Amino acid sequence: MISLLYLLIVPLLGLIALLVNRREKRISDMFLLLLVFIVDSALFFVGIIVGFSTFNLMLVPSIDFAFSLGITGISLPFLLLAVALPALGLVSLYDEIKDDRNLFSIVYLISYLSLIGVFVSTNLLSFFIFWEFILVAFFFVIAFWGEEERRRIASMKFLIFTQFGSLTLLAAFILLFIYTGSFNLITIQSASSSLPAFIAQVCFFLVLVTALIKMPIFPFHSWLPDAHVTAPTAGSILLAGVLLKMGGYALIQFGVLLFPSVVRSFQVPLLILGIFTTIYITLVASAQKDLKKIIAYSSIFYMSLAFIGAVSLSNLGLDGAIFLMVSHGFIAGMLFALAGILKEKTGTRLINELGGLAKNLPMFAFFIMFSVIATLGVPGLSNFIGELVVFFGSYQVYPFVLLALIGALVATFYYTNAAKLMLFSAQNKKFSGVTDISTLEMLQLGLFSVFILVLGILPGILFGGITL
Amino acid sequence: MLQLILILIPMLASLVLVALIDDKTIRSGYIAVAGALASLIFSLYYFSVLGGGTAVAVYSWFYIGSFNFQVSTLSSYVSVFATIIVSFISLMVIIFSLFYMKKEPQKRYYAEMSLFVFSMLGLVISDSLLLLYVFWELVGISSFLLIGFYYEREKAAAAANKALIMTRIGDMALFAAIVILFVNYGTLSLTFILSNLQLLSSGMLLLVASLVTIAAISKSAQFPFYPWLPDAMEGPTTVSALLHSATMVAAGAYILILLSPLLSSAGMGTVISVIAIITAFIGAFLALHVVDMKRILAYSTIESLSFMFLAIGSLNAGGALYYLITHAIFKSLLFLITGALMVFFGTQDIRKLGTKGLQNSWLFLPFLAGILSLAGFPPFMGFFAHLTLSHAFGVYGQALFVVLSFLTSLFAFRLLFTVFRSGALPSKKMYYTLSSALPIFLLAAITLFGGISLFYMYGLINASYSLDVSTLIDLIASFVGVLSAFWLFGSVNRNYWVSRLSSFADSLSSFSYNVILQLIGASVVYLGRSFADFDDALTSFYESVAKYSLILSFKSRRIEDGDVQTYISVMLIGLIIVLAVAVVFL
Amino acid sequence: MISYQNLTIVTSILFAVAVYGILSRRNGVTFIISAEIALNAAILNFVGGSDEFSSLGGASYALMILVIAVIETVVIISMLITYYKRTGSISFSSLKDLKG
Repeated sequence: MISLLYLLIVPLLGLIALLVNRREKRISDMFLLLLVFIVDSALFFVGIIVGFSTFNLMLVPSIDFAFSLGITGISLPFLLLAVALPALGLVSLYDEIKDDRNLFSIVYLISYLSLIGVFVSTNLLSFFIFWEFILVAFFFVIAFWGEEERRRIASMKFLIFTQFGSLTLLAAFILLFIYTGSFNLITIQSASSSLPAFIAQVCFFLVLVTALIKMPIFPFHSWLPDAHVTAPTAGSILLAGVLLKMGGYALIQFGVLLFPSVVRSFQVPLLILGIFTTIYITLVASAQKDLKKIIAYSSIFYMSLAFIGAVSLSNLGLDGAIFLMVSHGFIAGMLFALAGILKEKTGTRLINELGGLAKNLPMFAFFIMFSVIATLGVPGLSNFIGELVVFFGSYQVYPFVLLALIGALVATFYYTNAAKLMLFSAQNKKFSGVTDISTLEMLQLGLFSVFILVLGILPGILFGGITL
Repeated sequence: MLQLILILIPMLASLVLVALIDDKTIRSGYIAVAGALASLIFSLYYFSVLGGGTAVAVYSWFYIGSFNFQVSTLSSYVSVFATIIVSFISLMVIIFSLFYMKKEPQKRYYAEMSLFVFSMLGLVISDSLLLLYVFWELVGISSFLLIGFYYEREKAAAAANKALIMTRIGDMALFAAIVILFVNYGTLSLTFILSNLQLLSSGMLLLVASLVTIAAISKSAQFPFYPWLPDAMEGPTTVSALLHSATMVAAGAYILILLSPLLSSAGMGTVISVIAIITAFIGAFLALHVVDMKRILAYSTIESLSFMFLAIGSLNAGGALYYLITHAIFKSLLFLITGALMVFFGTQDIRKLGTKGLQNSWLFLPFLAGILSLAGFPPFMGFFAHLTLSHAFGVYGQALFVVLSFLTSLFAFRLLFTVFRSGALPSKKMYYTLSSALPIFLLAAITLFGGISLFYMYGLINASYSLDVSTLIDLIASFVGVLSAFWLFGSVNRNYWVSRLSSFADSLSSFSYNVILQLIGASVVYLGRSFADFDDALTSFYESVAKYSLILSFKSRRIEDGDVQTYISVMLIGLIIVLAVAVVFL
Repeated sequence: MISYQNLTIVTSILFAVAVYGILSRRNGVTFIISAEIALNAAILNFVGGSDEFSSLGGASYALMILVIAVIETVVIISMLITYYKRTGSISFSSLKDLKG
């Protein structure tokens, strides 16, 4: 049995090493990061096989603040994302970040540590502390390493929106503490049904607001496009890949699973909100010219599908939502990595300035087509399973969820259009000198593809890790 | 007992091998040929051991909690015949590709073709609707990749996108139908659903049937989803031969054949027939109009598919299946010959080809065989196909079929007479190779002699045929068509009538349909723009809220400007407020 | 005599004027004058109150305020002179070190 603490200690040691390295400058920062990631992934995969053991350290008994770690029923899939994505984003980090790479690595590692911490905390306060760490770390990522023109605004928007979400989450936690006397997840889970109805509703709505901001869902989604466009690629990969899923995790863990009766009474309006978001957001996405914005908006689309699945309260819906979130994490990560490569090579992300890239960059074109096909939900790749199960689970509750398929249709339109404008048709003379992607980038994209393929063909792997 | 899955393995292996092995070591084409041959052999073997009736093999794909997502395969005569025809035609086309695609990038082509054949075979052996949908989508994606094969061409890329988007509408409809069926039945096994149709309310039945019909007509290029097929001719001709004449587009008809009990319970027959009739006339008239050889064949395919849909509409699924098989053979034959002509002469324009004196070439007789089969003359296979096809037509159906027979002959022989004129052959250009001649002659032979198979097969696939007055009338109509075509197009100086006919067809084709499509496209774009503007407004709303709070902050800052007197006044005001509060509340 | 009520009104008006003067004067001397007026208004009120409530406390307190007023004025004027020696003006505008 592997203690979950080890999963956190390794990055912590890495942080210390990075700080020391800042002075001494002996080993390459990339090497340190790679080492941390490899060791932690190994621990994770071994842990899946032999099992994880919990860890408990009471810090302040009077307010029940304990540093306790454990695998909740839905942790494992998200943990996979948290462990895998930062490692995959390392290549983009190496490519793009040139100023003060050491500092960025520190911030990156802090996020990595907190991401793991978020998904394995069974004490609400420690969960919240990790949650906040990620927020602050990402603020710095966007504010200091983001694109010049808009990074002040984008980082501020990101901070204020998500911080507001954190506030509501904290309020919900405190409310739960007052009425159940504990911050421990398991205690709260058993006590949640005995809460007075009004308090349960208030709690749920606070968590709902957090989720609506984080996932994000209309009308609180405005921070996402700007944040994505200005963030550096490694940041975008983590943002779309894991941060948004934190919102989904919170929704399921602290909202749906704790207060099913509240969800049931508000199910139809919530589902309508989800459906509206899907259609609205794909239409908005179809008018975008910046590739990163397209991917950002389509991320909102998949998260709202997951939202629909989560709110439908059926086993299939919840499982499907989790699967879709994990699948989308990999696919969006791959897409952003590709967008980053595009920017590096051609200097632009506007699809109507590009053209005919497939001629000089066949491997790049291959991966773009792969990720476009993956994101459209073609069977054999993971998004299909997620969408399928979500729809299976939510149709029983509310037949009109099928309207969300319109969104999928519009998505086909703008993705194939983007691919065509970028890769096919006549070649723009400006780009005739561009070289194809490097071996390292191919490795990164290949690994992404492997995850997507494996999840698509053998989804049982992920579903086996979920116990509701 | 061998599992049907075995039929899939060779093409899957081919896909992987072609992708991995360098073209210099083993030529990719040979791998693909081997794969297709193996699949064919397995299919034939499977046919020989098939006892009768239907059997379903179930495999478990994944579990969610206690729910088991199973997939199942169907072995019945319908599916086995389908696998035979698919693997056979694929084999023929892949062999021909060795000749046709010599100068093109090999790996990508054969990998994508292998993917396609794998998906198509999987589609026809599926019993579980989930499995069927998986392969349905994969077929669509391989079609997308293959149409866009010459991706440097703007037209090819646009055509691929158009095909994908149009067929995706059908895909979404099929997906919705699957969700509805799953929720109502708890399983997706076709055999189970079809034997328990009474569990659905009639409204639900109608909804599901409509959704499935939409899926079928989008995949099979029926009205109103037909425009993608002519544009799909931008792909290599071998792709058109395999996908867009013989197999993929037949998938739509195939799914309706499989689901015919569902359609009959829901009463969709009339709707399907009406759509089919409209499409048939569109196909026939447009085939009369265009001068691009591939496009003529494309419109002819649309018309032939509508014949299948007509049969399905009159609840004659077996007839549709037999016609499907027949059509696959003669249409792919015609396309392959077109491909050969393109390699020799580099043009698809029938007027230019007509100046080459092709009547004396070795391609003439096979092409003639194909055309005669298309027009339904005995003893070719097409004649027998028409027999079973029109078996269940009502009076109106028969009458319309007569007209359509005439039109079919007209455009078919127009094609023949215009392209294959007598004259001197450029001797050097038209050479034989095994890879080009074998498929063409083999297919021609089958279409000539294969008609007998009807008598063997009709019981197995639940088709029946009728040889009566209507058959005779159809034949007469076709013959009249031949004569008219000869009169109009046989020699070059009937231009007046030809142009009259042309302009009539032209006005029909430019009839507002394309405008409607463009309107739909434009309105989607407009909607997208306006929603995007709204979203930008939402974002700037938030930003202006932030801006106002910033202004508020600037204004409040003045309290702290270091001026003592400001501090004093603030303190005074505070004091007054506290006193007032104290007085009021105490 | 004058009723206490009227007296209070008068002293209040005087005080208000004086506060206005304190708050809005830039000139150091006029600032002192306003401060004096405020103090005197308070003294007047105390004296009137001593009369009204027949108590000697008011009057004695008024005497105390008088003394303090004088001392305070001396202190302010000396600070003002030092300030003048340093900056050459008697306006307060440059006293902004507490700005935040």
